[in-house]
Amino acid sequence: MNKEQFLKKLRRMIRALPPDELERILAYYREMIEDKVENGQAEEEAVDDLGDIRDLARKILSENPNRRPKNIGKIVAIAVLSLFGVVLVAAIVGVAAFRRVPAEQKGTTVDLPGIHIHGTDSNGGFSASGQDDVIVDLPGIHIDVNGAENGKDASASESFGTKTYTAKADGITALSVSAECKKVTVEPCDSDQITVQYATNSDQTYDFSVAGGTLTVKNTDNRSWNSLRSAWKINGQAPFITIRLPRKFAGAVSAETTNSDIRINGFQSLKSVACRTTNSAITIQDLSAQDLGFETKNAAINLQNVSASQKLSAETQNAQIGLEGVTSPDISLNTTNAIITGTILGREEDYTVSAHTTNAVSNLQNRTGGSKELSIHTTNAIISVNFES
Amino acid sequence: MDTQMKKGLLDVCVLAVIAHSDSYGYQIIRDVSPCVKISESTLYPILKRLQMGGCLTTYSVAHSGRLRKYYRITPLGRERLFAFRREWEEMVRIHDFILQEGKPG
Repeated sequence: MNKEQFLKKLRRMIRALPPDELERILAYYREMIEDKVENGQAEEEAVDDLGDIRDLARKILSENPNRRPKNIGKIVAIAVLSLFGVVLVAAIVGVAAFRRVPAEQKGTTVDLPGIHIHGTDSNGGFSASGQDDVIVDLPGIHIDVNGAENGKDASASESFGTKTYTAKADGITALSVSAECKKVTVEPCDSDQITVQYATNSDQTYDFSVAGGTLTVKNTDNRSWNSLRSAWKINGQAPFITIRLPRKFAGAVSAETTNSDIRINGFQSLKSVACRTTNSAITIQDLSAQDLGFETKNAAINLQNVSASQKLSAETQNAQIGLEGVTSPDISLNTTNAIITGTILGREEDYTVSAHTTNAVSNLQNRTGGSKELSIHTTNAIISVNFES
Repeated sequence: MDTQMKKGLLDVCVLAVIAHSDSYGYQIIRDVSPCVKISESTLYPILKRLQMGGCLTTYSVAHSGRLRKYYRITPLGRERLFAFRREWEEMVRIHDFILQEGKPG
């Protein structure tokens, strides 16, 4: 069989798969055959190498329990009836009928207990995609739509969408972000402006001010206590604030949030970075500054290719600290009940080392007399830190 | 070897190859082969699983008039490799203990 015959036959045999997945699989095998041919194999031989096409098709189908749904209405009806009964079917139909979504908007997400239906039809209709049919959600009705009307439920909030704030970077020596339940990302850009992109709705307050060279972004989350759900979304995304700073920004960056991740990457000239969050990870990559301080709890701190010419401090609880290529003359890593692991760039002999854990092994020998300091503390977990030059 | 364990190990093998440098299907099979021989049909669900698990991202590169799909490791993927190393260190400790037939010290 040649390549095209093979792919045509395989397509027919696995046609029950969702179209996206089908195309991905065929592209994968096409690419595989073409790469083998490019490396000197004859096309027929490359195809033969894949084995018996029926076995292959059977294997592919067995790995894909998601067949293309034949009757969408039936699936939705069964899901609803089996979970909450006829009343909710009426609620879904009622909401769907009244929500006319403008053609340019991507879709409407209606979150009802036990059901997740994601509409992608540009005419404002509803269809259930193969991937997200039924996801059990938290109790309570939260209607979140791309429109200015309030839902019937008193706890529904108006959705304004994503906004952008811009300021000239010239004259700014410090960025201070203080947010609640927002995922904070700081990334470099090649312009002379500072851009803050943020998801907002009527429950959020955002204050922007520039004073004494410091740009302050302050966000308050004013949701009522009964609508504080751990998985709430604005426009289908986890609420976020993304700040784009000029790549060469040389000032101080301070980012504080709660219950959400902080991510910073790609800056080489910063004066200092201080991050604090709770119950969520801090992930830092390709960062260089004088002073770096990271604090969270119950979630990991991951530092990759990070350098602090004066001091580096990472503190969390009940979660690991991971280092991949970290450099600093003064390193302090603290956590509990979790491992501290990775690589420090430098020589062990240069450091005064104080590494302590309980009920577990540390690969480091405590020593004095170094010109640099390394302090690593955890409990009930291993310390596995290596030095690399 | 236990199939579940093997499955997990294959995933980490593939991830390790990609961590070394971004790679594509055919190349990954070749790079893994000194360690284990996996077929094209075995590699596909491994890549899919790693991608779904947030350990890999993909991008396409034009090559000789066609598109080649490259895989790149994510920070979460690196974390997964760290986790593997830690678990293995734990296993070595237990293994050594067992070999000493439970003799303390």
